[in-house]
Amino acid sequence: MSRLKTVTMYGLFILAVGWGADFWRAQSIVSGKAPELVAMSIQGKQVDLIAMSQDKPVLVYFWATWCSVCSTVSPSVDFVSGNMQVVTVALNSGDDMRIQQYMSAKDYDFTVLNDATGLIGRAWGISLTPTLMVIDKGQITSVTTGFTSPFGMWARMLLS
Amino acid sequence: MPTVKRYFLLLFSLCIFSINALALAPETGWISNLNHLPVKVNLQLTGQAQQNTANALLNVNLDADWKTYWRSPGEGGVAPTFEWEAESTNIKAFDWSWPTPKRYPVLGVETVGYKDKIHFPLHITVNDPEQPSRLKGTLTLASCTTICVLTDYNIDLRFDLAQLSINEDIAFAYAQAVSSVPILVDQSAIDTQKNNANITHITSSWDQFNQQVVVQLSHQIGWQQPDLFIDSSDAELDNVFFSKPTISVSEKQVTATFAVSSWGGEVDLSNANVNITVVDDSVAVEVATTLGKQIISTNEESIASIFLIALLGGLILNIMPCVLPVLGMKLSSVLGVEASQRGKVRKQFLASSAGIISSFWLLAAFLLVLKLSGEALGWGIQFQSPYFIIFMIIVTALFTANMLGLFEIQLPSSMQTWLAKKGGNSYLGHYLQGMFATLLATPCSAPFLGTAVAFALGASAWQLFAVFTALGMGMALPWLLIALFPSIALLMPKPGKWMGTVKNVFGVLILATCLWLVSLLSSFISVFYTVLVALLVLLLLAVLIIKKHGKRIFFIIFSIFMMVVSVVLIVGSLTAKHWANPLQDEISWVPLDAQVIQQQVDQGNVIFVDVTAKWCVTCKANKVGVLLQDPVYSALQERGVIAMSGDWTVRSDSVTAYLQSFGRYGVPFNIVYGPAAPNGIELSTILNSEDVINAMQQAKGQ
Repeated sequence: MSRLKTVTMYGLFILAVGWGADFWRAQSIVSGKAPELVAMSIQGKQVDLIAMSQDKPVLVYFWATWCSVCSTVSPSVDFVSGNMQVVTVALNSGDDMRIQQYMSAKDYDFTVLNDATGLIGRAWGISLTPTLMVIDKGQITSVTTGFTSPFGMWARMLLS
Repeated sequence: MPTVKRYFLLLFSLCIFSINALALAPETGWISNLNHLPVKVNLQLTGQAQQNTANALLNVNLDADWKTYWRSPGEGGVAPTFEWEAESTNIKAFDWSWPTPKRYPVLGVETVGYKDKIHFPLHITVNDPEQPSRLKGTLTLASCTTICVLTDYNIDLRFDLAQLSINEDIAFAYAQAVSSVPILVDQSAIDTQKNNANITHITSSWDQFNQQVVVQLSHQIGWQQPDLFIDSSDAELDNVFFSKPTISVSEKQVTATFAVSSWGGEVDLSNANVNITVVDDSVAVEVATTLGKQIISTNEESIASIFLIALLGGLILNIMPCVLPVLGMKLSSVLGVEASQRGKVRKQFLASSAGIISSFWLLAAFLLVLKLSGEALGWGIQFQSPYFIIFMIIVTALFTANMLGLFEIQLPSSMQTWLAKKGGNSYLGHYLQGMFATLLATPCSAPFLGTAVAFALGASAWQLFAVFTALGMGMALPWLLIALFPSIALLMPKPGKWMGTVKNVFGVLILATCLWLVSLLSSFISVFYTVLVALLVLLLLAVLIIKKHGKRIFFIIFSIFMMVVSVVLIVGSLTAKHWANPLQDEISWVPLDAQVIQQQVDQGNVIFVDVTAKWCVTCKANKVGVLLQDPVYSALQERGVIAMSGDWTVRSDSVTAYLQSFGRYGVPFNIVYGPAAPNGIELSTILNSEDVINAMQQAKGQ
């Protein structure tokens, strides 16, 4: 019984630390109203983030091909993209062709906006990857960076 | 007095140093980005300049746990960049040097980079040294812990090259930084042993089939715990990634194997220009080189043991089916022996042995030329050339005629006298027979031979010759034995009428060889022309027979020939139902394709691969004796079994690459893949049903 208690305490502690770290890291990131994001995805689909978020929340994922940690988060994003609205932004990761190769090599299907020069990142105040946000009705309701589990993503979407 | 002088000098130099410290060596000071405080950068000029180039130092300080990347950071990284072209004035070039990096695996992804404090030595070249310059731009630096951050730093540094003066501290730090950069050495400098890095040897090879690069480096003193990195400045290879290598060290030699990957699928690094960086306790060297094609043997066999293996391989070659066509030639050389002269017997057999060995040298020289020109190598590849086959057809036809007594090789009288002085032209004949026997015996691989040849082709020139000499000696061993103990040959019956008969039999055997060679031409010309060539050869022989023996004999021979042919055909058709089944090849052979193998194995199928060539007699023997016989024949037609065939009859780089990926240089080669054996189970050169069936079951996982 005490074992369960210990595990729970550890779990809560990790959650608290994680939340604290998220909070600290999220300082520079824009809060409140999400910036306009209208662009063509590398899959050739027109994306209007604010419009998309009116109906249902959208998970926005900032990542990069050169971000080794992202390779542990991307599979989860790919997994949830099946039944959630997901828009991802690839920061400074080369041209569309290169990202497409990356996507097919890793077997990812999520929607990707190519931010080859980091313009979107700058507008959003995001220079660190992986960053996950939830946008609901044009508002940023949740921001997290670093490793997140699919459960965490799902919980955040639910909370928003 | 001298003491005073010394103190004075010391004082004087101190003054100079302090003046220098105050002198003009501009720097940006520590810059940090408010969004990302754990990383700071500082760009400093040392104050030193050569002509229009200034030395500079880019210092990057990372807080604990943060890492940044090398110029080729691997799949999970991005190299630092500096965009200066747009905003700078009077700047021509900005060149980075990269200190020796380290490996940092991040959550299983291999990255190559730096931690803590890094000092990049730089060269800044200006257009006009008389004018003031301004280096302005954005330095973009990625840094990672459990998150990755890409941060921009605005660099703005004004300086005047003509007015710079040295800052000793920065100059010292610069010199230190330069010493942490691997020494760049050219491949040619290593080949000529003119490098100060003590690297005595380097070979690198690209294995297309396994998508691997193997690098072998020798160090004069020996390796401790070396690590190797590969990268390329070729823009086309930007998205090609080299894994952390598996490294094996044996004394002075290190062998590193890198797995190569790309998001775009299979890559081709044939003749790619790469830089190989090797780092060890007291070594940091970067070698610019071109990837070769020769597979590097990673097994540590000594030249002595290889020599023995080669000897054995050569000896076994004598009893391989490849040698069947040569049998006649070999036996006929025993025939000419006259009981009276042991000395003569000895010389004859020595001549044959010399012929065999020089033929091997000829092959070695031929392979060496190919190797130097970067061509694909193999055992018996001369049979891939129609010219070689035509040459052999002519030679066998001449030998046939000679053996049947239709034609004497007439040498010019001057040469005859020369030969008579040297000991008679009979030895030349034996020598040529030896040479020729070897060339005809090469189309097949034999046990041990493959190992020896694989070693030789990957080794240096003298080792290649040594191994081929051993092969030749091995093949010549029976001859040498007779040369040692001529009495063995003297056990033959005394020469008499029977000799003529035996000679004729051998003549027919060589004629068969000749026609077999003609049949090989069908891979290069149409069947119609092949048949035409065969008829032409037979017609020529017929004409010679008529000329020598008259029409009567010719018609006798002709009718015997026709009778034999028709008897064979009749017997064949009568007994057809007994052997037609197994000898019909109803197996649907799929062309060799590495990717298909992978896919089929994933689907749980068993793949039997047969790499073969029409000119390979052992392959034929395997096919007729094992593959087309039950139980293997039925097993190959079962569901879930795919029979795959690689044809090496004519030159095929993909098949050669496939063979080489197993360290093989000849056919036959058979291997079985399956869910339980994704890397394949290699079969022996000479197949037997039991082994094939066992391997297939093992591969299937039963």
